Amino acid sequence: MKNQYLKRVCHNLQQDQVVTIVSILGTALSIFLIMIVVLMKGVQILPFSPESNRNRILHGDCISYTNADNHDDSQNLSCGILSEPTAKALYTSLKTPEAVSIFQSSPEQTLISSYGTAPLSADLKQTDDSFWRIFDFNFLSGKAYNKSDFNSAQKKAVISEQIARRLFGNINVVGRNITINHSPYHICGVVREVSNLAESAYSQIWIPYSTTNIASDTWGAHELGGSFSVAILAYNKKDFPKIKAEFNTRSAAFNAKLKTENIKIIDQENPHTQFEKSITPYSNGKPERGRFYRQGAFILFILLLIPAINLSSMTQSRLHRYMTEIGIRRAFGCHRSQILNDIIIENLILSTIAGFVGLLLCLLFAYFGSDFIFTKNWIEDMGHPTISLSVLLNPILFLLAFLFCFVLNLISSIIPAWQASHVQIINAINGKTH
Amino acid sequence: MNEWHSNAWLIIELLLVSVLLWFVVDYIYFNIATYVRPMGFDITHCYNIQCSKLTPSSPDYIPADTSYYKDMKRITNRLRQHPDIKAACLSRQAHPYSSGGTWNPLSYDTLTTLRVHFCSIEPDFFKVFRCSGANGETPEQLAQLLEKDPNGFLMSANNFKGSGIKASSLIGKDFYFYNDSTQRHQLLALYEPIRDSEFSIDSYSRSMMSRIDDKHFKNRHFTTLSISVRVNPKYDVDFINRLSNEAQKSMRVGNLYISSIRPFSSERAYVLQEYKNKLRNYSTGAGFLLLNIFLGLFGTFWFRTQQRRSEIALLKVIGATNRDIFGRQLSEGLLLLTIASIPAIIVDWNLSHAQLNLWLNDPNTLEPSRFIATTFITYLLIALTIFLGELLPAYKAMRLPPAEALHNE
Repeated sequence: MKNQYLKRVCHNLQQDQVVTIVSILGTALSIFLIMIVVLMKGVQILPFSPESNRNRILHGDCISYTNADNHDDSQNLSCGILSEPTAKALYTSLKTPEAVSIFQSSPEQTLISSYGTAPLSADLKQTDDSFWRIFDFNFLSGKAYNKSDFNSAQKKAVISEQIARRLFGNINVVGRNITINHSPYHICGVVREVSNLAESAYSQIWIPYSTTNIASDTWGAHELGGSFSVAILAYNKKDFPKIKAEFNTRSAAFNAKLKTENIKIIDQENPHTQFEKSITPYSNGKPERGRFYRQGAFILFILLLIPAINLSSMTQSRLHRYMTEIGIRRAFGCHRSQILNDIIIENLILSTIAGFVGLLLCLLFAYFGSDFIFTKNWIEDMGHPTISLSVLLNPILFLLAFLFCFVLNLISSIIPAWQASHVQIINAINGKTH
Repeated sequence: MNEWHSNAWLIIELLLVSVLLWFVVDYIYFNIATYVRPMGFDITHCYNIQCSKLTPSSPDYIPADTSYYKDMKRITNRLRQHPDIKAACLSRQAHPYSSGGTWNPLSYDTLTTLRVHFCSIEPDFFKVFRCSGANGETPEQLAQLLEKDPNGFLMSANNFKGSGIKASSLIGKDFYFYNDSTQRHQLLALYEPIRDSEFSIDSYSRSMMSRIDDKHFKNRHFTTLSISVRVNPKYDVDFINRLSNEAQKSMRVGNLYISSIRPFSSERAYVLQEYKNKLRNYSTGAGFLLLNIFLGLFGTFWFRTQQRRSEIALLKVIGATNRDIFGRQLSEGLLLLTIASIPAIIVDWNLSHAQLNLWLNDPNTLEPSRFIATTFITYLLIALTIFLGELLPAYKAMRLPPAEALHNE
């Protein structure tokens, strides 16, 4: 039976070459663009090194606060990234997670140099030691700074492969010294280059924040705001509700303390999952689920509907040829639903082939054109949005591509198939379509 | 054969694509129209220099020194004396592509402007960015005016636009800021509006420029300051490397050091990236729509040509020229487009009146011709695509050997 479908598809391909090729191109184009849109979201959510644990990470990126007597959660807020005391009070003492890290929210461009070389600009991120537990960097040599290094403010630095090469010409540089912001640091590890799509982990140089005075740069009332974000690694995704509940207890206790200052913090559904983080557009907001789904649905609707109209018209053209055959099959007792079924399945085989072509093009384009597709709106850093193979080969992408093929096929072939299977037998035998 | 069915598909498709494409064309048209308007400044050979303070762990750290604002001014003065540099100035959230800053109304007597961007600068700002006056003053003259009267200010010529007041008649008058009528500031001159970025609309270019308040400047706010320099074009080769090498030694003042030197062209690129990304998405969408039209027309008309072999052959036999056949095939698609365009234009008209793209509208750039231009461009784009889609099938029809086709029948 399956063989028969394949044979017929092959036959179709030979019979109506142009129309079939146009159908395949139309489907491939649609799947190509849909999958590019999916990938643009995918790079924000799917795990890849050094953010391989994205499924188990919760983010506490921002804090919002207002007057204690303000009951409107969307008005008169002060919002931004956290200070060290705020991050510690709200997150560090959580019991459920495996690890909690406090790190500088976004890297800053810094002049670095080694003895005798011209200074160069690089992105610098200041972190604690847990940072290295949550994010799985690929160490080429050496290792990260640990808890005791952090606590005793050891001036150690982890640098990326590219920076090592630019400064020293090779990557075996553990133990060498570099100058960061006019202070001497000791290189303790070299890691593989990080894509700036890894928003939390990305930088080119990492140092313990205890070695600088970044923690004293605060803003806002009661020094609530600062330069930090928090990442929480759960043992298991299932612990998320428990962690959020624990966080709520912490923030209630925190608010009780702040009451004397007449201010309160607003949780904004913090801490956010990777998905929630990706749909939270502003620091002062909650995740905008409604907006995301509306926008997504509209884009998908357009990308599926326009080709579907085209393909319907193509399918109808193709079916013209087979009307006589359909008539004969019907005359010999073949049921309408069987005809309908056959046409849809034949089309599905065709559109799956086309979808595969589209997906392949999408993956190639995403891999080689990542700078064009994934460049972020406000690129303040010096990195590149290179996309890792583990994202491109994620089975979810293949499943989604097939799903969209199926939907596209269904909406584009159902009307012509219905019409063809409902033509009077006598008309069909005469090659008429109505 | 009745072609009503496939024509109906095509008309529905053309209608949908017309409306969607019109929206995209309108978006791109608006952005290009905004992009080509004058910027009010020139950033070629300009660099943005940021300073940072040393951390206590640095061997050079001076615990007693916290006068960051003064240190910053001294660094600016040193840069001013640098042989490669033509002009240098300190400014606060004022330089082009800085985004951010404070917005307040300006008042004169009972007149008050809408909120305008308050820029704190040093007079040389005008020389660095080559901003000129609305009455033809040179940047040097503007700088001199502000140099002479530290308490005065300048404003962009469009601050009173739309209120019926001639801004130039207010020069020399005393204004007050922040609704505080006790402090008076004389309006010294008007300058051509300085826009935020290539894609920002005119109402975002209302601004005023006054001197940085020396007395009240808080040292911890020094991070909001930046130094802008204009480099002599002759020496603008490898400037960043040269200056950062020199900066290690000679540009350290107190606890401050130069932490980054970036050309304004890259500041511009950062700010424009968001718009570029949007334009990329919209143009891709337009390309997708047009490709679909191309494929749809190509497929349908290819099929039709095959269906009509005998008809075409017959036409040829009774004397139709190749050109007749070609034209007949081509005009069919255009006719369908014209039919689809009528409802499409009605929908477009309603969409533009529902102000779906309200956030784009700006009194200065929304000309009445915009609707006509965008609908016309949309029609033209689709017509061109239809033409391309039908070209090969029509050519095939034209070359059809009549005898053979009729023989097959």
